[in-house]
Amino acid sequence: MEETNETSFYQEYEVFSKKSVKAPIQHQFSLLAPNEEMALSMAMENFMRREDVLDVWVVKRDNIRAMTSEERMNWTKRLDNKDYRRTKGTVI
Amino acid sequence: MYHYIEYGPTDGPRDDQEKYDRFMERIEAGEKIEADDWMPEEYRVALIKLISMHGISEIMGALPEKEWTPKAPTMKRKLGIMAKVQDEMGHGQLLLRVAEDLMKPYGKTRKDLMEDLLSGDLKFHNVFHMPTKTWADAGMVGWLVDGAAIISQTNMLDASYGPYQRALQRICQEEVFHAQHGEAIIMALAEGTEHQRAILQESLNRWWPSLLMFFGPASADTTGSSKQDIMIKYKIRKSNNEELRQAFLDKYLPRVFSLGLTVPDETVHYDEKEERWVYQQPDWDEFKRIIKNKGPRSKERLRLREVAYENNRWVRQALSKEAIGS
Repeated sequence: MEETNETSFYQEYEVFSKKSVKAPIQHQFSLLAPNEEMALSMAMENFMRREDVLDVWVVKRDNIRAMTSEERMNWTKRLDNKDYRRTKGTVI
Repeated sequence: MYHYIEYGPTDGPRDDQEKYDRFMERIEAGEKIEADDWMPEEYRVALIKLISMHGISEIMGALPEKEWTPKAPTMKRKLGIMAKVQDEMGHGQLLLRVAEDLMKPYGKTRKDLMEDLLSGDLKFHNVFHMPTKTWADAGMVGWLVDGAAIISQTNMLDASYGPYQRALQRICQEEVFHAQHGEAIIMALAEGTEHQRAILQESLNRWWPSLLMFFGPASADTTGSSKQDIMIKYKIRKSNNEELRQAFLDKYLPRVFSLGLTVPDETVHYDEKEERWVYQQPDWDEFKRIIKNKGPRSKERLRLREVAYENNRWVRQALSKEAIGS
């Protein structure tokens, strides 16, 4: 088998997990694996040996549409004009 | 998930001044830089060097550590060592991911990291080039080597680079288990027979220079180059090498002495006026030789990694896209 085959062994997965019944699922870290099944078992074996964990998700990084650096910069700054969305100071 | 195309490392050597100023404002404000944010080349290169060395050192440390599992004296100790080896491999993988994302604009991958390690371009930590001889060394590595690692890593818990800072939170938590496990081995030996105390002292004598070297030279004058100023400028870490070494001595020398142990340096003392530990410098030329893979166990440790890499090549090939046709 050609050596060039090896590079596709390393696919990027993002790992999410849930620590308790009341907790939301939360991003933890990323890892490299050749497929979903190995990504899941590596996530469990490498990173979840001690902590409580009730569920794990692995998602191929390519399938996540995250904000770009520029989008984060432009879209996440709140203008100081959202008072009407809050009830603070509302006279009932 | 991350988008590199926009901001590759193609900007000129001084980068774009406006982008640089904005970047420094963010650093000064304590914001965290993410993998796809614009960053000066100097920052990216310093991070790649630091994090790839940290990651590969975790793995290079785990390989000889596992040799202790069959030799550990009790079932409990064997399990402790096994847990530690798994942790170190996990840390290595977390850190390599952080380094790999930073290397993307250069088209480099994990394969390049492994090859750079085997060719000697990627260095690993001085302590992992050293031999271990007795069971006391297993304790010493956990107690003082991991203790030193905790000092230098907790100094970066608020690092300006988000992915590294987040990985370190997890890593530092687990390193505490290792240090406690090492301490338990040390305590058992320190309270043991005369022979046990003798191997403990002998081990500390052997590890002492490596422990001083662990934090690197005080300034670039000693070894010709040092990245510590860049690390502090960009708020990757807070303290310089000597401050970290002093923090280590402050924490551990009183414990060493309270166990009735000594260090192989008669000049060691705390200078009340200067508020610092005085000690004899280790041989920094030897340090340079060690990290150039000319240490006592450099070749053997690299060989362990090479064997693991070669022996598992068939797995990487068998599960590659080409082989399974997906």
